[in-house]
Amino acid sequence: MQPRIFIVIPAFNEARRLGTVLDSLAPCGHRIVVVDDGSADRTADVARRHGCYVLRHTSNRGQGAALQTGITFALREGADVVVTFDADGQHHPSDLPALLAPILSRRADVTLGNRFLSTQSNVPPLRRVVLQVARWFTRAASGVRVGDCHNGYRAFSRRAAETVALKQDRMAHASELYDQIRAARLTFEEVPVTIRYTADTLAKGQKLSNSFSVLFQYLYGKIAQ
Amino acid sequence: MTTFQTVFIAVCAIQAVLALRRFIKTRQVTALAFLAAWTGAVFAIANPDLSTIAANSVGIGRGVDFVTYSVLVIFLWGHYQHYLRYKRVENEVTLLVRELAIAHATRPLPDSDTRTGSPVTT
Repeated sequence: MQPRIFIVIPAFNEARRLGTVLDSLAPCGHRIVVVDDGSADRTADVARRHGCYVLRHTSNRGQGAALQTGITFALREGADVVVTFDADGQHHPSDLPALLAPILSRRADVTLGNRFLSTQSNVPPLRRVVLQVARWFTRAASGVRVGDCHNGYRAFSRRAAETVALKQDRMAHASELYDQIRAARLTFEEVPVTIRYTADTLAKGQKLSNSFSVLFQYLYGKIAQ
Repeated sequence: MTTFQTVFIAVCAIQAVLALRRFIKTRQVTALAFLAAWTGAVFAIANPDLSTIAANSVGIGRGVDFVTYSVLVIFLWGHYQHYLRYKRVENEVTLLVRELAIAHATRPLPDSDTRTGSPVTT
């Protein structure tokens, strides 16, 4: 029996770029769940027109919250594997088979995309430095030895998706995820994925100055637990 | 007694009475804490030497330093408590928004040309 693979895409004001992303994913034939995180534009309409499951947050709750909504929904729909994918076109469907392989062959519970293992990624120098610092911090804080962090291209087995419970609603969920992987002793593999930065994605994507905000969210979250 | 002392003692005393009323009505520990704080303020303003005596008893030279440190600690503690409460409320809002989103999830009709989604029954 074919595994039921769900691709979860959190989207906030992505009406302009989402269509291209969904077109690129269409040949994969997997079920696509778009979580519209309280967008003010026609993100949900674009997703509906492309034959996706569409969930709409009535207010903007953040990427972590949107991902957890999509994962919860996918599990209730009977997903065997859940993939998380960005709505801005930075991720490439061509990396999907490599991301799924460790899960489908039961070698790992989670696969994590690693942009630094791919020669095709064009990470800007300053972002590369910030991501390296974040990687060291992640290793120190969670004890999970990862080569990349805050990369939204990931795949989860059903067991892993059921185990993960993101409580960090905003960007700090990426760091929280590593804590949960370690706490639940989930096995993981890193897979090379290509992240293409363009002026467009850099303009809307995470600002480097947000790094401190993410750090404080994560630390406060840990204290508040 | 200076004008400053008169005005501030009056304000603090009114607040102390209000805190006392609230404590009698609700029996909340928070109200009791505010009653103690406002009453302490009344005595500290009426007799500034009191804060110096309290400061000296814990090894601090000046009463004003003792008051400053105390207020800082209390303020940070209060801020942290508010943050915890804020996070709890935020999490509850997210859970509500999530369940609402799942309850109203749509998928397109089998006809790929459709422009409207149909509710998903889970």
